[in-house]
Amino acid sequence: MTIDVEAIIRVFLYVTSIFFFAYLVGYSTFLFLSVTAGSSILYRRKRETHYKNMIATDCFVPITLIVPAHNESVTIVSSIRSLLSLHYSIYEIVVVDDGSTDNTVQAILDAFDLHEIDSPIRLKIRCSPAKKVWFGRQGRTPITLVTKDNGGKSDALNLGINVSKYPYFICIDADSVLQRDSLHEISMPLIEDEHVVAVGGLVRPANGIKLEEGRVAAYSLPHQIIPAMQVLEYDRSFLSARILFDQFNGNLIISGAFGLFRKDMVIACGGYDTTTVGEDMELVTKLHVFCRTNNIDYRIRYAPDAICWSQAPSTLHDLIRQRRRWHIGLYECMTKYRRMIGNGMFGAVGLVSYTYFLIYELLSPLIEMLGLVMVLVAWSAHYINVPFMITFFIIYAFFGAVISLTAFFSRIQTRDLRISTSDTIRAIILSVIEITVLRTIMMLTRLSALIGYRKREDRWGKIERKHIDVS
Amino acid sequence: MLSHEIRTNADFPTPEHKESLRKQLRRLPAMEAFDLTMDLLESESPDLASRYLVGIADVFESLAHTIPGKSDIHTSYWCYLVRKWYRGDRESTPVIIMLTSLAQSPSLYVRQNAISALAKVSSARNLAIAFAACSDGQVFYHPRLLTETSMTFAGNKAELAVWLGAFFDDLDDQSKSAVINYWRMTRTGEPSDMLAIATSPEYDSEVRLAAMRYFATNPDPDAEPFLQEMASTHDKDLWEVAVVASGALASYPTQENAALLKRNLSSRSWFVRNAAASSLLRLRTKMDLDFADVLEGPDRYASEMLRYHIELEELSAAGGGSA
Repeated sequence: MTIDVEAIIRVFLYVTSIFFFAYLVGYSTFLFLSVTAGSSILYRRKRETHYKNMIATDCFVPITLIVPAHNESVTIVSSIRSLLSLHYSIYEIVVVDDGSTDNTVQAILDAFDLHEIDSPIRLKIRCSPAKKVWFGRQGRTPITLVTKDNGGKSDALNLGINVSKYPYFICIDADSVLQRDSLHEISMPLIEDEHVVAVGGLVRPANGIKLEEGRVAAYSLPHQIIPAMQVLEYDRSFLSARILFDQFNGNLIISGAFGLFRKDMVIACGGYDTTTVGEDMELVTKLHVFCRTNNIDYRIRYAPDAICWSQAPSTLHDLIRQRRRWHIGLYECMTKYRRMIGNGMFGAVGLVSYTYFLIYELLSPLIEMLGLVMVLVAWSAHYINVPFMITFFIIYAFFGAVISLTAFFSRIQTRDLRISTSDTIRAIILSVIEITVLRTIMMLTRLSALIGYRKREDRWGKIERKHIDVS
Repeated sequence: MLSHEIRTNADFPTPEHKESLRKQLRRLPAMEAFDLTMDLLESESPDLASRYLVGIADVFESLAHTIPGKSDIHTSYWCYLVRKWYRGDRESTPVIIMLTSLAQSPSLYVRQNAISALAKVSSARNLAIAFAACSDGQVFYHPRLLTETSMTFAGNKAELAVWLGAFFDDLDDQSKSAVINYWRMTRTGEPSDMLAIATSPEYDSEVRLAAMRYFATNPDPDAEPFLQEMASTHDKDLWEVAVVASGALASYPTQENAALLKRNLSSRSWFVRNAAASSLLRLRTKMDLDFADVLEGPDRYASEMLRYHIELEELSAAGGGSA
C-alpha cells in the first residue's frame, strides 16, 4: 500500500490552517475589543475628571509602601525621595533590604537620618527573620529600613508585610518612582467599593522621563531602541488586557512594580509564595481562588490613572533575561492553579482570563513556532501562495502596529503629555519593528525559557540599573 | 459670549440675563464657561462676584428642575457648581431638595458631589437628612467619606452633631461608626450616649468600638469603669475590644490604669501589648510613671514592646530623624 505523502501533508496543512485562522481571529478580536474598550474607558475617565466627577475630599485609607531591594544602590534613594513627595495624607515607607552586597543600605542611611531600633515584629506570615531595623521620619512620613539575609523578593515582601502597621500595603519596586497622585489614584477603588481586595496600577517605562515634584516635567520616547519598543508594548498590554479584564473582575496579574493589597486578605491566604519567580501573578491568582473558594464577595481592580514609572531593560540581553523569568513565572503559576482553567466555579476568571493566558500567553510561543514551521513546510511543498503570504504578513504587521499606536497615543492624549514630532515618527516606525522583529525574538525567548529551567539557580539574574531623573 | 454677558450684568443681573443664563447653563460647555468666568471675577472683585451670585440664585433653583434625566457627568458637575457658586437659602429650596435626592444616586460621584454641595450650602438638618438618605444600602458610601465630608460642613458643627444624632438610628452600621468618628473628632456628641452605645449589645461591634474610641479624646469619668473592664478582658475573641479600651485609657491618668496597662503588656495578643505600651508612654507625659519593673522584669515580650515604644518616643523628641 502506497502512502500518499502529498495528501497527508495537504490534510495536515488544511487542518492546522483552520486552527491558525481561529487563533488569529481570536487574538485579533481580543486585541481590537480590548484596545477599543480601554481607549473609550480612558477617555470617559478623562472627561469625568475634567467635569469634577471625582472624590475631591481628602479621603484616605492608611497605606504601607513596601519596597523590597536587592543591590539597588543606584536607584533606591531617588525612589524613596519620589515616595516622600506623594500627595497623600497618611502612609509609611518600609524598605526591606534583601541581603544586598552593594551599599544599598548605606546609601539609604546616608540620605535619610534613620536610627537603629529594636522593633518587635509580629510574624503573621512565615519569612526570614529581620537582622536589623532602622526608623526615622521625613516630615510626617515614617520610614523603616529592615535588613535580612537574601531570600528573594517574595520573602522580602512577606517581611515587609509583617513590619507594616497599616491595613493596606503597596508593593513597589526599588527602581520605580511614583507620581504625586499615584497613591490617591490607586486607593480610589477602595473608596468606591468595599469589596476591593487588590488594585493594580499602570506601569510605564521610566527611561526617557523627567519627574519634578512628583509630576512629569518632560516626556519623550527613550533614545535606545529596546526600551522605546517596550513603551509601546507596555501601553498596549496595560491599556488593553488589564482594562478589559477589569470590567468583569478578571485580572490575573497586578504588576509587582505597583500593586495595592488588603493586608488581612493576603495574610489569610499565606502571603507571597517564595517558591516562584512570578510572585505577583501567583498572589493575585491565589486571591481569586481563596475568595471564590470561601465565598467571599471580592473585587480585584485596575486603576489606569495610578501610574508608576519603572526602569525597563535597556539592552536586549537584559530584556531576554526578564522575559524568560516572566514566562517561567507564568508557567509556574498556571500549572499551580490549573484547576481554574475553564472552571465555572471561578466565573469569568476561569472561563475567560485563565483560558486567554493559557492560549495567548503561555502556549503562544509554541503555537507561533508551529506556525512558522508550517509556513516552511507549505513553502517547501509548494502549497504556499507567496504573494498572499507576504500581503497577509504586511496586514498583520499593520494591524498590530495600529493597535499599539492607538494604545500609545490614547495614553499620551488622556494624560495631557506632549511628545515631539520626531518621537511620533519614531513611535510609528518602532511599532512595526516591535510587532514583527521584537515579538519574534520574544517568542523564541519564551520558547526557550522552560528548557532546562529547573536546572537554573540564578533565575533573577542581574539587570543594569540607571539613575532616574527625579527632583 | 457668556463671560461677556456675566461681566456686563455682574452689578445687577437683569431678568433677560437670568433667562439667558437659564437656557445656557443646561449645557456642559456653558457650565464650564460660567465656572471659569466666576473664578476670574471672584479673584478680581470678590464683592462684585458675591452680589452677582446672590442675584442669580434663582437661576440655580430653576435649573434644579432640569437635572433629572441628565447624564451622571452633567449632574455631578452641576452639584459641583452649586457647591462653588450657589448663594441661595440654606433651607428647602429646589436646589436643596434636588441635592438631597441626589444623595441616593447610584453614581458615587453624583452622590459625593451632591453631599459635598449640601455641606457647603445647606443647613445642618438638611445635611443630616442627606446622610440618612444615602445610608440606604443601595450603593456603597464609604464611611470615611461621610466623616470627611461632615468635617467640611460650613455651618455650625455642633448643630450638625445634634442633627446627626437625631437621625442616628436611621443609619446603617458603617454610617453610625462614621458619625461617632465625627463626634469624636469635633469633640461633640454626648458622652452618656456614647457609653450607652458602647455597652449595648444591640449595636454592631464596630459601632461599639467606635463609641469606645470616642473616649480616647473625650474622656468621661462615667466611662472609666467600663473601659477598665474591657481592657482587662482575657477573652481572646475580644482582643480588638481590649486594644481599643487600652488605647482609650491613655486619657485617664491614674495609677490604677497604669497598673492595668502594665498587666496588658503581658497579654497574649501582640496588638494588646502594643496598645498598652503606647498608652503607657502617653500616660507618662501626664503623671509620674516608673517602668523599671517591666523593663527589668521576667516577661521578655513585655519589656521588648515597652522598650520599642520608649525608643520611638525618644526618636520623636530628638527630631524624628528628618533628612
